[in-house]
Amino acid sequence: MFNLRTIAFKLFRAASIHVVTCMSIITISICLIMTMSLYIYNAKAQMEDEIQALFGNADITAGYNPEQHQWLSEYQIEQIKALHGVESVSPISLTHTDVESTLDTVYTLGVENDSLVRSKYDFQSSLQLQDVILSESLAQFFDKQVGESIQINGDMFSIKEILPTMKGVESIYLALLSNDVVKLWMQNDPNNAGLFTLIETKEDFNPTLIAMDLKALDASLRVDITNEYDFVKRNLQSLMIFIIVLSVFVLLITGVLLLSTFQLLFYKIKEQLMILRALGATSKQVGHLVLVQLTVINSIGVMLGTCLSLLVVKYGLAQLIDTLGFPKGRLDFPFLLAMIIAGASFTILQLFAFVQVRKSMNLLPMQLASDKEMLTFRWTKRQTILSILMAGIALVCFISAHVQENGHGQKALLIVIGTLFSCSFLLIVMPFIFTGLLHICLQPIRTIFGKEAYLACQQLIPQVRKNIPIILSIIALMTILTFGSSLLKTVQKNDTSFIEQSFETSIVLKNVLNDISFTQETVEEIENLSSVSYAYATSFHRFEMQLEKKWDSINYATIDVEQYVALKKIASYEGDLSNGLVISQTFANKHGLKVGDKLPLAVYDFSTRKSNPAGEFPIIAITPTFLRNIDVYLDWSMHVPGKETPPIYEIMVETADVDTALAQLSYLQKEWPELQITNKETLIAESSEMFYQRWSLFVGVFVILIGATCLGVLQTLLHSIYVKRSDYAIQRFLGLSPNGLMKLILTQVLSFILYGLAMGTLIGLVLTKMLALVDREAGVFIDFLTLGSVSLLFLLLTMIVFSLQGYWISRRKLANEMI
Amino acid sequence: MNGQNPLKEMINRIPIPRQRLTEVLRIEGMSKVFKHKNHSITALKNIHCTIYQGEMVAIMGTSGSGKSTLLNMLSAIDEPTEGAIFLFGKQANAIYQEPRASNFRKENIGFIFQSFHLLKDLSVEDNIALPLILNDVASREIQERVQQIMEKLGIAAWHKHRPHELSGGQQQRVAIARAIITNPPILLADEPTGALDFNTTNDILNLLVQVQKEQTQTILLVTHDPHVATFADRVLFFHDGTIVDSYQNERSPHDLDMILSKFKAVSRGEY
Repeated sequence: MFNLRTIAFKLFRAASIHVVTCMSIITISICLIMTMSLYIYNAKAQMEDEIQALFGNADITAGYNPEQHQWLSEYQIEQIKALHGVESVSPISLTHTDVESTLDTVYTLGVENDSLVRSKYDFQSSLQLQDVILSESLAQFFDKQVGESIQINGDMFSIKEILPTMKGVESIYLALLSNDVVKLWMQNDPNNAGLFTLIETKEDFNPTLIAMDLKALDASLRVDITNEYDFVKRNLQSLMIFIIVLSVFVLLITGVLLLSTFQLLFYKIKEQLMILRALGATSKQVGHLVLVQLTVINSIGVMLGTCLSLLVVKYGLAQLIDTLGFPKGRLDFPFLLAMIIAGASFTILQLFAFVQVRKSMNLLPMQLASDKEMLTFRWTKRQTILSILMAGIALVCFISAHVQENGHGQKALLIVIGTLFSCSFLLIVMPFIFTGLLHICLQPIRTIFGKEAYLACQQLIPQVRKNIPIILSIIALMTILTFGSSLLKTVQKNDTSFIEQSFETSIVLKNVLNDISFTQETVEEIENLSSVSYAYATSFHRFEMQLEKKWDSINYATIDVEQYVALKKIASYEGDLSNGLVISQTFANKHGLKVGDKLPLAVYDFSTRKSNPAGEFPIIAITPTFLRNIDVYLDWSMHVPGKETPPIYEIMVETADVDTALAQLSYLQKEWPELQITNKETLIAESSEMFYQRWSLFVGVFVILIGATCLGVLQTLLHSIYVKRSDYAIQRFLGLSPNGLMKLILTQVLSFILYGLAMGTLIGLVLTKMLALVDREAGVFIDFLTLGSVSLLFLLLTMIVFSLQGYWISRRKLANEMI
Repeated sequence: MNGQNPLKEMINRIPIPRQRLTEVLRIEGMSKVFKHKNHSITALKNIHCTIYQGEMVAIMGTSGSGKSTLLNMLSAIDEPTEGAIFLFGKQANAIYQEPRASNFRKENIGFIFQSFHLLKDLSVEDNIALPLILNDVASREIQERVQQIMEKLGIAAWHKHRPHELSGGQQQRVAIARAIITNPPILLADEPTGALDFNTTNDILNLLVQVQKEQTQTILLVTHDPHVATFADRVLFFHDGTIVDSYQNERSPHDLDMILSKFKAVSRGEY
């Protein structure tokens, strides 16, 4: 076969090692991306299955406890159905029955035939009055099969279906009958619908809001929100976003890395392509030839990566998930999803291949090549336009974001766009600044570091352009590392400080539905528990306050001031607690307030839509801010005229024995099922678990990426030093000592690596700091330890590798090197 | 250069009486044997030779006769198996060990190569400045000396150019400038005109002669071109690693014939 494609394949021989390197890089990154994506897909699917199996489509269960002797009426069901956000409702009756005169307390449910209840109990049949569905264990107990009859509560029923035992759930004796039958047994009023009801909410509708409406319908209703899987769900969702971002990073670094490896590959076949050009091949034909080569490399790399990922998913992932403590997932390999990931990755990698194809199309015939190919790194008109454009757009974005007063989303978008343009501007400008700086610093370098360093830098300047792909790979790696590690550290620090701020005590009880039956007596009751040291309540509300002759809406907290004084969070107060305000130091400074000053308050009336004056109140204490950025505090004993005493929102409970206290507090949930009881220890443990999962994933991915980047960068640099051997030999001949040559080589490579590391870190810091402008209140924490360690590792590796190469080159016989 | 003054060219070609000159380089009993696994090749056999200050000596011989090997030994690129060299009457001891070899070259040798061997990443002036930088000469002095030599060799106009932007002749001028900028006692030239056309060859050789006369520069030039050898004061003929004949140029038209006939005889092994 004599065509361009076969020639392309044959030319591979010239650079077989580089072809293998390219393929390996692609294989590793595709395997990484695919394994991570498939894991998260599997884990998510499994979680959804489990939630579905346990709760069906029901998001809320509402009803009465049997001891309340109350029933949900048809009217109430209609009211619930009519609530905003409710998708469907299915009433259920519950009793205990006698089965076959052998078991007398079998859990028996009366259900409708709708899809909601079917999803909850996982049955398919349509239940008629004479039908029954048994749990597997109950059927096994009586050795009954589908179609046989069974006696329940003295009546005979035909077994319509047997429910298999759910994985991981203890099998119970359970019988499902038609709701009409069970209601009758319970001597129920025919107008009643059931003891409780399953409620399915509309997609993306917050179940808590519906729960609040349900409580408004009847305060004595027990409302349970299916939130047992919240942590896993939250964890998986954020893990998914994290993995997607990480995958994009991996592809980006792979692409840049490929640029330098492609360049190396291209270098190897360049002369042959130039001969082809001299023989009459058009630039289009050469481009086609290179495109065929790179497409083959990309395709094989992606295919191998997919196969490797299949092996990892099937044989190694389970072990890895166990080690890293990730949420468990199935180990399926969804072919279609894998193909989509492979296809998308291939398309992105092809874009990088096109960059090289474009470069190869500029290749000139042999005799012209040497004249044109050595073009220096010059600032062109195109670069002037580009840099001005980028700097201009960035500036406009930042100014607009600064001026923007409303619209947080728009402001954030402007900052993100501005940041991206600033980074691109830096990328364009920096090589010129770098070479310019080198020019300026040449003499000082000679004075300080000696002639070898001077010569190294002098010869480095023309190589900046050639080595741009290497520098770009290091820059990309460091930018992503800086951004990623800072993001993780910031999330961890913010999480910890949020927990610290939210948890003044070991346990916090949240009355999320603002149940007014939750009173100070309850707090006293809690305080009287043997395991509890002390407890106090807090609530958050708003009122109007006149400040500097202007009315302003202010958030305030109702607190136990005495308790805070005892805890030394408030130093002291002067005056009557039931008629005074405590304000923060910042607030006092901002408005020029001092203890004794009186502040006029007003309460907004929603019915009349206007503010009613509530009187003037003196400031009795000024304290540093201690409670979630709230600036004004009131004691529970204070009454603001026109404003009802707010319901308790939080109760802080301090204990020396968290487990016992939690056990003792559990009785509260029977009375107030919507009450959220959280403890600091568990939350911190969950937060650290989430952090370390992400951190280990991040470290794992970055170890591979750093490894691949090191491999690519060092290989390219080794090659570029190797091909300059004759230049080094000339310098040796002119009197440069072997140790001097080693120093020269080391200086050259270290300069490139240092430039990449510094530039990458700088862009990463700019990116992180600028994006932090989106949320000025959230602090940004830079992970200098990680950045320092990676930079040090890079430098150390470079020093080792190039000391060896430098030693080898400088000790070669000069006669052989001077050819 | 083509526009060389004929009178200056003639004066340049007037031989200097040897007895007036100081001995710069003496080679005594130099031999070089390359040992391979199963056999060994003798590249140089017991060479004895003395070169005087300001003298241009051409070494002629066929390929593989040992000419370049001798230059390698003299520039401490390679170590002879036997023998010694003397500089200004003093034996150059252990010059084949680093870092002495580098220092020896730095202080005593200027080298011109057939393929110029300029650093392609550096400009003309940077290439010329290299030996001075390596000799730790002050920056200002480097600038002055580079400027002077560029003007002298007619390459000042291209000082910012890269080697690939110059013609072969211009590149060789840069190489010569680099070789002589440190005023080395000995200038070694290995086929300096091998890659150049006839006119450029003459330009370069006239330039070398000019340098020889003006700086009393000792030049040892390897060539296989009899025309090039006519520019030297003395021609040494090499065959099988030994100096087999020599010829003192008389600056007469029959020098070329004499060199040619001796070279042919040497090539045929008739000596």
